[in-house]
Amino acid sequence: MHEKKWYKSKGVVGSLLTMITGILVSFGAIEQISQSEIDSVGDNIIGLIVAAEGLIAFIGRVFAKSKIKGPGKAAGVLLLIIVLTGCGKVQMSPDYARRLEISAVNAAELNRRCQAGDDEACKQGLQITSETLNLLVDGLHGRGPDDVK
Amino acid sequence: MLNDLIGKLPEELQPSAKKYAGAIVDMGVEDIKSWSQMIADQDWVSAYTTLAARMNTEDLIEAQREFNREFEMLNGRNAKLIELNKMIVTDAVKVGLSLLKVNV
Repeated sequence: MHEKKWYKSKGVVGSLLTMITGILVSFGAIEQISQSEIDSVGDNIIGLIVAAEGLIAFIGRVFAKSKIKGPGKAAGVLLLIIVLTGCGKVQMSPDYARRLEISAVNAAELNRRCQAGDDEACKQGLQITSETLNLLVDGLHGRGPDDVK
Repeated sequence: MLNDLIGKLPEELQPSAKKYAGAIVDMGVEDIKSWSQMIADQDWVSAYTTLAARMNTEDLIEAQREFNREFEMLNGRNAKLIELNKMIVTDAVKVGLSLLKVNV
């Protein structure tokens, strides 16, 4: 059977995250979040570990003459995790993506009516779709309603 | 049968579908068949597009207002998740650095 490291297992990382979030929720540190959201965090962490390992292996190949020893290797992995964390954002959830697609349908329908002479579709439609775009930009930058703009 | 079909839609689309159930019933047999097929294929965008064309402008705007409220809520969750992500990795780095100190 193909052996897999425990920290690359979705099941193990997912269970650990579920436990951690459960503890954080019970202490009131964060609000309740869904299992799919916990899974997406788990996927990011596994992605970071795999990317860090891949880079270390690559560097090891390139600089094969200078042997990287234990603590040095660990420091390299840590450094890569720090660098990669800056690029790691929570991906768009299926819930978010579906609402975005449906909002595009609403905007297109409102635009069609506006072009056909419906004043309400023009005035209120433009206002509401402008609000939608601003919310999407907030989402893009990871800003919540409590964040100062 | 219509209620069963509406029940298969994603939660956020059900209120509009329930409100416009009459308009769906008024569609021709072929249109209802094709709408049912869209739901069976999980082609929510096409199913909603059919529905949106039958909604009045006021309801269309109200539906989008509701989506905006949901976007706001999802943005809030997303922001918290990003914070949680950072916190977990920061803690992992701290633990790793402590281990390094012990090893060096």
